[in-house]
Amino acid sequence: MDEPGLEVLVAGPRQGAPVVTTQCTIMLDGQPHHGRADQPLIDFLKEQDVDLPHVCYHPSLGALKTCDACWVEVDGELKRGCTLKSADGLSVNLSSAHARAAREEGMDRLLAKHELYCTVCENNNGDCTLHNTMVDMQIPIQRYEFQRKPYEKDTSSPFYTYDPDQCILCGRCVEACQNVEVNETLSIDFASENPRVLWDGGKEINDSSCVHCGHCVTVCPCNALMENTMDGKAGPFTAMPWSLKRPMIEIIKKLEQTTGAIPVSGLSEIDMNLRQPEVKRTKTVCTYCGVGCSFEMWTRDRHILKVQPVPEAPANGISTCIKGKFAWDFVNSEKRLTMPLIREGGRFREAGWDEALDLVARRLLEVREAHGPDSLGFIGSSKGTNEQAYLVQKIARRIIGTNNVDNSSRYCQNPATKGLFRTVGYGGDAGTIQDIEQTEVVVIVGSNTAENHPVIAARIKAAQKLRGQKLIVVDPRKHEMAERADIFLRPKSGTDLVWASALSRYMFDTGLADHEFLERWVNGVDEYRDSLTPFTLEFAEAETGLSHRELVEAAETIGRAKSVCLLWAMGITQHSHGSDTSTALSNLLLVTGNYGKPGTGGYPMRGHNNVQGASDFGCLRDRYPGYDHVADEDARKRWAEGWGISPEELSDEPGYGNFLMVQAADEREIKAMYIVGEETAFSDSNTHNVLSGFEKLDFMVVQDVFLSRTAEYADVVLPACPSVEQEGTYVNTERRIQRSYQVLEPLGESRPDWRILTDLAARMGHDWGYAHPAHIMAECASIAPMFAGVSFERLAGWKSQLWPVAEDGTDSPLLYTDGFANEDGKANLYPLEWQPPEEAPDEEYDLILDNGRLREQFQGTNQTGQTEGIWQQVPHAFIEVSPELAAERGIEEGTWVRITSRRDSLEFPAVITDRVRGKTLFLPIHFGKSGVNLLTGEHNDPEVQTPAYKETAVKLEVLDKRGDPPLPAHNYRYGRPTPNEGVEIEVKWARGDYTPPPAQQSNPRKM
Amino acid sequence: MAERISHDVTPPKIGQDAHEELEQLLQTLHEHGVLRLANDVVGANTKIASVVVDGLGKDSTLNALQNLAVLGMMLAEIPPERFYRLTFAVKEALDCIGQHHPAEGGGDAPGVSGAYRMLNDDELWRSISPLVAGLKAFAERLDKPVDKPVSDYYGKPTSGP
Repeated sequence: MDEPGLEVLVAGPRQGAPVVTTQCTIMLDGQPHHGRADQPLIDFLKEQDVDLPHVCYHPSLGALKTCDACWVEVDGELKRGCTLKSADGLSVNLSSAHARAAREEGMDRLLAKHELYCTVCENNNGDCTLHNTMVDMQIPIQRYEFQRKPYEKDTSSPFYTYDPDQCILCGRCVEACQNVEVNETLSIDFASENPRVLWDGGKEINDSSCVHCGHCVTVCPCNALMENTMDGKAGPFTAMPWSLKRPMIEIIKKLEQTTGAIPVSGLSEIDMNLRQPEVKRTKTVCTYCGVGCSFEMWTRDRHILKVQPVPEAPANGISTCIKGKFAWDFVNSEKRLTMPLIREGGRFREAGWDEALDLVARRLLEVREAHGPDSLGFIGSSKGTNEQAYLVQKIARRIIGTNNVDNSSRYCQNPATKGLFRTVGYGGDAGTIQDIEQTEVVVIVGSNTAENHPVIAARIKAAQKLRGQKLIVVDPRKHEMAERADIFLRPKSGTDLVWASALSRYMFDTGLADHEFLERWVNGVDEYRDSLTPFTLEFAEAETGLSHRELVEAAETIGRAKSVCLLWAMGITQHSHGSDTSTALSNLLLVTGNYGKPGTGGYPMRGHNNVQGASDFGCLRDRYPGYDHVADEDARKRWAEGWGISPEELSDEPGYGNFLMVQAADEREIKAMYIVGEETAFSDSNTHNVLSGFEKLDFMVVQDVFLSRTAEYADVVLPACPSVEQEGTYVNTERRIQRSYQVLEPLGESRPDWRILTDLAARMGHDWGYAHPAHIMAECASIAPMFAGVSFERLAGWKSQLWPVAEDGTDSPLLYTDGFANEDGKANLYPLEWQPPEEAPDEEYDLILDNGRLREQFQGTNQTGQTEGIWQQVPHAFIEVSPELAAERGIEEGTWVRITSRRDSLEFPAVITDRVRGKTLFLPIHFGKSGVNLLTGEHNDPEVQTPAYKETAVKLEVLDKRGDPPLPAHNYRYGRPTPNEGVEIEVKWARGDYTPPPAQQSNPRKM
Repeated sequence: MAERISHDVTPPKIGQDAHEELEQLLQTLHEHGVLRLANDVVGANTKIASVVVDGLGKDSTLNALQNLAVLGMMLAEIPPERFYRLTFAVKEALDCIGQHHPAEGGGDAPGVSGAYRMLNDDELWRSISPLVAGLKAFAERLDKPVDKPVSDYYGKPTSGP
């Protein structure tokens, strides 16, 4: 046993750097208990297998002090157990009659507000805190009669329901909304006659600022807030209509007056146990953005009961967004592909797997035979597993012999990776979400974080609100994070390299540069400083449109901060010089010494759930898994040895990325393509040329969950499983590798990606014999030094590893603590020249078209579009027009406009909003057959061939057509949040009629 | 030239249908031995039935069934509060009787006139005294008002579940 006072290392709740903690001994009912010091008493006791009854306490929310069910005696005085922390010398009396009476009175008050009908309740699944606490306390009968409250159930949301009659006013939901998600919608007015949870102070849920992130539902300790997907589905008796449930409840209530509650609780315990074999809880990793949320998915047969995040989840804890929590209807969609399809006579016909795979194997080898290895191109999925990505590149390199393999990071994040390669060496986030949380200053550039990475945004909002973190946002668009920013800079689109370089120069000129850091860790300082000569503040003012004051304020805030994290995304990378701008941002961090320390670094926000992993595991035109360059002879030899071939059999020439592949297809250089889980027909720029390229292919295979826009051009379509129907690993934006378990059996004849690719390789003469994705990871780990210590065993449960991972399993939550990933261990400052955007407005095309995601949808809506509730929030495509432009052109809300670029035209109804300014428009990318890319061009970043999606000059024509406002009035964007500090328990205590337990309460239902 | 094909996929079957659920039920019943038991019961139904009928046909069984029916009829007529008082009065009387210890309860006869010989019978007095105590407890309990049995039982007031 550890000695008291001894420091030990333990993994924190969000796995990453070990936390140094001290041990202590407390006295509990006269007995010593030894454990971690400074831990909430409830958690401390739980680890000792001692249950201190509690309802409102939640490890992710802390002590709310509302439930009055956790009283203990300390020094003869009653104290709420949730407010105590373990420490040497603490002596707690749990068993005294006084404490027991106080706890029971607290529980009685809760039960006065909540009707117990557990056996017919959807929430009686073993995790109902209220039920379990009541049973554990062996409450024989409740003191206060339950009475209905004067409110109706709120069923307005398509995703969840609030039942005031079941609400115990514990405030967990309010705390989660106000201080975890920080959407600031929920409150409880304890001073009112009949308190209840309020949305925007008294609106219906669906008419409020609620973003349907699900935090409130996740933490609700009973059934007051419940997912609609649970309704009637959870237990054997829950499907009964209320016309039957109600009289049954009344009968039991009557009997309870004689029998007491214990036999009735026994029944509900039996019911709870009856449900356990049916309800399956499986850990999975979210399929949407790059935050990497993991959670339990609860299923009964194929029905998805709910997504339940848990505090142990390393990236997100209890947090989710609308998509991760609620947009899973696509899994059981009738539009799922469940049989292979073969193009025949201008139609698709269903086929068996043998026929389809034999055809694919034969045709791919025939094309290679006829036209050479480089006539084939492979695109791996940035939504599929790492094992899928590994196999795609292995088939391309090992079987076909080409480096024409890529993933959709080409369309988004390769410029950021390039910028990091040039400066610090690793193509990933410098640290973790915890670093972003704990930093002094967060700078967000060209990232609509609140909508695209909502859980990371929530952490930043909470750090700003609760701990005074400074937030600087640089963006042409005034999105939520911009509105919350302490400093909001709104430069001209495409000029970020200028202000970033001007700030670097300012640091040198004013002594704010970290010379000690630069001298110790950075190469090329003098050369870089010389390159900054043109970047005066005056030049920056002229080019960016930012004022001198704004630039200096930002520079001073960054330069004087002890730690800075800089986040950027598509607003930087999808420009014709995105690599240079990414480099400029990383340069600025180096100049200010913001790498290698906790709370520092550059953080490109990865957009898909595995866009980081698809690149990490080799779906790049010039990199093997682990970023070994294909031209590196040592690496080539190592990979050849690992695959049991000679190095000469592997090409040392970088291949085509997906953007160039499609162009090469249009030029008949690429003859065949194999695309896994990528909607290239929708996501690549200039759709006309993409489709033309597809049409010219001799042979095209698409492996996907749905018959996507891309699959419509395929010769063979292979039905793949979504993430929840296969096992594998994913890498999130933090470089965190997480394991996802299989939740459901594959639907119909669909198959996991790794199995399809393994079968295909075997039919091409390469039987690799993988029987499980773990075998694929083991092979990769044995060859790629970056993943040497990665294994499925080490990723079991909620465990995760952040690359690079040493052979002994030691991972790297924070990079560059001992030097940089360059040959001499130093970072490089990279001189840059300013180059204006390649496509800019002119006299004819006088507007600039910005574009991006909405919080509610994802990409081409193939997945989110299967959830009806999502469409209820955002039913139509629209284009955002600034109030200035609207006034100038006579555009009103709902007026249709035609947007014409140099490529094509599209028509949309207008939403007039100050989120955009002047002559900038914003188009959500999700809608229609081709989305925004009918309008975008093929101009691209020459370093990495990422299309400059954000540089699209357009003209606008007002049409003689007006409809309803395209964004419905109930959309959260029109809500009016009610920020407060969380649960205002002092208001409840200040009521004249509140009496602390164990004294009885005159009106427990009203507080 | 591969032109775009619009195609409606064959809708997959999602979840179990009744037949599959029935199959699963059969498998579960089999694994838990319920089917074997049911088979045994059905296979031996004549013999089992004759055992049951023999048992039911006995006077004692018929008496028991009829008495249970009478009890049910009586219980249906009594409000729970009154029945609770009665049953707990009986319980407490029995408790009291059960607690009687002849050695401690005093063995001397009272020697009151009118039943001189009887009351001078020490053995008899020892026998009667616990019954008297029980009767006293029974009467005391019957006199005690009860609002809700559960409150009386647990000693915790309630305004109703």
